[in-house]
Amino acid sequence: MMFRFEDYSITDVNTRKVLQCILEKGPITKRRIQKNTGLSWGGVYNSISKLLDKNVILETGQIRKDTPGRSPNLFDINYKENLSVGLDVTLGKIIGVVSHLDGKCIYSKTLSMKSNLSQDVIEGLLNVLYEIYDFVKEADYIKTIGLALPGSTIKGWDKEGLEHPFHGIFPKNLKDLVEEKFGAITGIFTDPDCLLASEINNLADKSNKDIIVVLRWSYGIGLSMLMDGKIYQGSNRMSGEIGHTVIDPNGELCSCGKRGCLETYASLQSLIRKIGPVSNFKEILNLYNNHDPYARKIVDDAMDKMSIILANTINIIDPTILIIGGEFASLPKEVFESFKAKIYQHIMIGSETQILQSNLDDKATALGAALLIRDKIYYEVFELK
Amino acid sequence: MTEYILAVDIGGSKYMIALLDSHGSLVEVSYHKWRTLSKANVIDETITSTRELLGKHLDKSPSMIGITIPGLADPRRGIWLKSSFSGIGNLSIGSIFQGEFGIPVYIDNDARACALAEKIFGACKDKENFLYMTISNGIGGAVFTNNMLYYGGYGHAGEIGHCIVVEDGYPCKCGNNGCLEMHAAGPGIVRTYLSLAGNSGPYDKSLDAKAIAELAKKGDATALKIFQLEGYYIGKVVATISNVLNPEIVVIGGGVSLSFSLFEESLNKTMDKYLFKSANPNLKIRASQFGYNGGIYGAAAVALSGKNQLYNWANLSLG
Ligand SMILES: [Zn+2]
Ligand SMILES: [Zn+2]
Repeated sequence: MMFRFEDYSITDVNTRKVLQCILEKGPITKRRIQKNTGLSWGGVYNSISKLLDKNVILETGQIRKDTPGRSPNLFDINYKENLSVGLDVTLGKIIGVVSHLDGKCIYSKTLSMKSNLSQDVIEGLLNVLYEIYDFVKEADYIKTIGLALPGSTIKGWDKEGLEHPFHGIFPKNLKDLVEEKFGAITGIFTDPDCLLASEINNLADKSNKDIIVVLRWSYGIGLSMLMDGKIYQGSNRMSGEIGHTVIDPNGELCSCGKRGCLETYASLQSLIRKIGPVSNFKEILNLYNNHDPYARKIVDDAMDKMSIILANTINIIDPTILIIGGEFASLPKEVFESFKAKIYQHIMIGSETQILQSNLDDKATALGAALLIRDKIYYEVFELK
Repeated sequence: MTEYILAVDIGGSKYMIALLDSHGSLVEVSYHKWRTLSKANVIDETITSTRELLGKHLDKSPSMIGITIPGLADPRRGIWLKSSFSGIGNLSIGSIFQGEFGIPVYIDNDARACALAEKIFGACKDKENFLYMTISNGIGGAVFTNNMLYYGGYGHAGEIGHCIVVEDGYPCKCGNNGCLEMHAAGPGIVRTYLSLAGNSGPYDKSLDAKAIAELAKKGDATALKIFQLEGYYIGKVVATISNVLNPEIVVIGGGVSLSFSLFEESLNKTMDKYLFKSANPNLKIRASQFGYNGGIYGAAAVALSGKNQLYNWANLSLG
């Protein structure tokens, strides 16, 4: 299927403003859009026509008026025909979601993966997409597809000696492959960036002054940071790699080729290997809660190491909010509180960073991928480069 | 027309006054030791010395003043909030200088000022993401992200000195043990030297980091060991921070950076061991080219950033 980016994407700033206003306040009249956006009457008119042309919005009726004269039309998002799909492609499973433009999830599908061979993972993600398309039925309604992949899978494509979680060669043209097969604009993002997008979407109280750091503490360990309304990317899109902070250069060999990285102490993958026979965090937590001494030792050690690295990160970044997400967000409340206390203990006095336990479910990263790719086409919230 | 900047760098035991042009060429710099350290005297001495220096260059009248202070600054209101070395606090040094000389005055703390100096005059002109750290009697840091000076959520960003580098190390006033500042700043260098050298070392009470550097240059084994440790401590923390921030370059300034050659090798070795190389293949670590005059360039950079509203300067959201 052929399509052109320009046919879809909304590039002019005013139209994006109008769209965002309708998303937040719709159904809404032109008059109120003008009031809310501060645009000229002509500007609002133009933008509305463009959005109607692209089927992004529709007329949903009229305000009932008692006075004579034409009643003003109401506009709202055409939710049904503007869907964004997100996939979280991680070790052991692939989670797919379908979401409305406002981030509301309307369908999800989880596929357990036994194999971590790249070719099987690709087949798995295509299968999840086929199921999603079966659910939606009208392929044209899906405008965007976002894929959340482990940072090392994306970043490691061109680098030798850097192992990513999936064995064998991961296709470099995955984006093109998906776009060609499904005809929706596709984007690939790192999983911590996706989780960050979801967390921000979920935060009730936020201001654009907020500096938000999200930790995805899962099979791998990665950070994503929102500064000045933008997701920080570093000098070569390699920021947030705290999982490969070396703690003991004589420690265990890590997938990155170094020894004693934080991931060898604290990633879910290493915990499963060390504690075995367990296959997920839930089972580890069961052992932990039943006072299994070895599981306790390993998990406590993971939290100790993580607390120092996070404290150092806070000393440098001074975020307003740090959210702990990923599997480890399901730590029991009292364990999380003691972990939090450990971080505070290592931070310089005077820091006011709020540390929160994520309350999102395991679909959050997939949903974040859907949000980030939506950003590219419709309107920018996160300003990813 | 060339613009001139008056730069005032206030330190713990000394201060510097300089006249520079806006391209960073020094007209003259004068160095002074404090006679007494008090709120009133800091103002008196710096203003007197400033008048003296300006009196010699009547044809180069400055159009702005930049001041760097050690400790906490409120750059938006020109207030020196808290000193890191004396009881000085809540001093409206900005408005006092403005009243005295009748030109705009801009102030900031030394680490941020020096980061601005690297951006405007130094090694980071074409860099958008970098880390600056200053190591002298204390350790400070400042971060540039997306081509802007980064303040953090509460104005505390860049507290490199309080990153923990030695488990159960020297206790720090911040409440932790083993902060980088306690081990790698001047007093920590002396402390470790004394503990390693025992009582037989060739030192006296005036021993400081500079003297230990001199000893190292003469081949003193303990002093050399100290600077190896220095490279290790700095390398470990810089690697951790670089994994988070993915900067293009790290610049080290302050008095201890004058001995960069003594710890460069150990620093690079540590970075090789601790840094996630695949993510930071081109990261460079350099000593600041401004050497002893770092604070002067910092003050000038603060003035330029303030006057021309560059690099997000003073755009912090303090409480
Ligand atoms: Zn590693
Ligand atoms: Zn400390």
